[in-house]
Amino acid sequence: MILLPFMISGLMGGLLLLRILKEPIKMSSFLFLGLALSIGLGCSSLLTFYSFVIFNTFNPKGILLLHFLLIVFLCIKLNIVIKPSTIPIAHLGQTLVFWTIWIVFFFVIWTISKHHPFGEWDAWAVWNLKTKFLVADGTSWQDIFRLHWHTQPDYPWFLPCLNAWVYSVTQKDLALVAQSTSVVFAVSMGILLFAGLQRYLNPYVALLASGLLITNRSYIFLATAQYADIVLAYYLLAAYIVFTLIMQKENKNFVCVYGLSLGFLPFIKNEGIIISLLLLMIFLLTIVLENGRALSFKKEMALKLLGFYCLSAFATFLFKIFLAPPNRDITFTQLSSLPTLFSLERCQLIIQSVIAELFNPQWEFLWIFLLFMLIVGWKKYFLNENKFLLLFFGLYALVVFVIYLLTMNFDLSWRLSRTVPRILFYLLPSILFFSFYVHGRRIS
Amino acid sequence: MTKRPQKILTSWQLCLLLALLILAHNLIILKTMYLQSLIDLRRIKFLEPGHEHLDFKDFLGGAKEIGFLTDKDMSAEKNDGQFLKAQYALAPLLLDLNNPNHEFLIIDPTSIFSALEINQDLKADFVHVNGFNKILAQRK
Repeated sequence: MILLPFMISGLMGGLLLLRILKEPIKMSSFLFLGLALSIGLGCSSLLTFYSFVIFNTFNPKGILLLHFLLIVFLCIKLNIVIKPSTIPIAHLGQTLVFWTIWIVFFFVIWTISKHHPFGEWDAWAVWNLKTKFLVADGTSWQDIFRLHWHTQPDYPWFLPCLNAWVYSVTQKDLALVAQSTSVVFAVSMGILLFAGLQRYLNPYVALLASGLLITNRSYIFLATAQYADIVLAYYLLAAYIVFTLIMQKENKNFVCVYGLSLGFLPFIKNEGIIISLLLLMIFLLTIVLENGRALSFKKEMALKLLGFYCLSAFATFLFKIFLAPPNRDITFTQLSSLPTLFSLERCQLIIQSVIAELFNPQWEFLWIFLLFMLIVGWKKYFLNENKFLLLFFGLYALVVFVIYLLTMNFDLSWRLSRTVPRILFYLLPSILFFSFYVHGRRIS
Repeated sequence: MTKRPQKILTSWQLCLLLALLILAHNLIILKTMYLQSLIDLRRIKFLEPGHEHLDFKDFLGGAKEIGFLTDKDMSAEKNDGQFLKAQYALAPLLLDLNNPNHEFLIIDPTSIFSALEINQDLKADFVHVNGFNKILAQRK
């Protein structure tokens, strides 16, 4: 029962994916599920948000109606011939074995997640608290903006709205709702990573890479801590996988899926705004520099990307411009103190914190392994589209570095100790995908 | 002419071997975590954050916003004070930190003497004092 809203979202995402891609698609059931969930859960969160704007209160029937209308619309508009199966019969047994593995992982992670049923500190103080306001009667949802600034009232609402959607279908205890959302994302991340790599590598190697992630104890802890970081990580990974699909010229409409995924990112966390803008910029740069394509084709790709990005990012625009208070984490008002903020001591502190976290035993050698992969095959990271994917990590690291330097309202070392593990956590699935993609893929 | 020595493992194969070792190591830890969880879930009762303030709900009537007064360190770095826990437990009620201009006030003092000191200017009645030394006061 608790999984029913995720299934409805998955169905909606699947229909939308088929509608966007138009042509009959050849993709594994794992990749289809991973991408359908990313689109579907994003749409569910946005529809829930719009329901507050429309009805000015929590209206479970209204939220269900919006979902129903979208699904009916997609069913009517769907004019695609779906092939009965894209899985060759010879691989059916193998696929069933993989599905069984993921189901086992789901139950294992579900059990472990019961260790923190209310989530960790920031999860209940920031995200679950907002869900409580959203699902209360009347106009309590607007009181979120009057909450104390320690609860980050300016943070966008992807996760609280998604939890409100799950609650509106199931009417279950909010702690169980938040726990199930985190477990669904934690396991789907493994499936999506596996599916993304399976297109380029031997399926057992893809399983090995995703196994490294999903069995890592720090990953399990942070993924089930009910933070929005797991959602951010999921959409970043989806964007990376879709980027590679576009580069392989699989289906030109994947650019629309890419735009949608990027548009969801700003609604998850403030970091998502930077991530989406960087990925948007890098993609535009890639198509501008791509040889052998007509200018009209490049224009069409850019327009599709920007159109779908605006479609899903519109909720964040509404939220940030008309509803949310300004962010207090960083400030540009006291410009006179900027020279003190950009001190060598602070730079060293940031670099030391990141290095210490990379070698933290809690990660079970995973970051050391990824650094090893980078060192032994560093040349491959600069080939073809890889250099663009690498460029994102470089630019994002630079932006995060500057944001840390601009920290004023908190003690920097305290902030680093709280946030560096989480930044590494949400980058980890994409870096794992990227590293295995770079090393394992045969470049023709 | 010297013959170039043949590699035993390519860099990719070496990466896969290391990945396998890490995965095996992870699976051992995962098994321990899973079994430990099964044991803990039978033994430990997990309490909701802010459960220390839940009993105040019965006294607040239809209040929409109340004050939360404390002499504890409420800086962002030390926000392990009880304020956010109380906010979470009593939501969707709004808590106003260190603003005494409300009918109902939760007082979270470091000691009973500091509670009396906080209340000196307010002259509020203590409606309820619970076992966690949290006080609900009401101003007339």
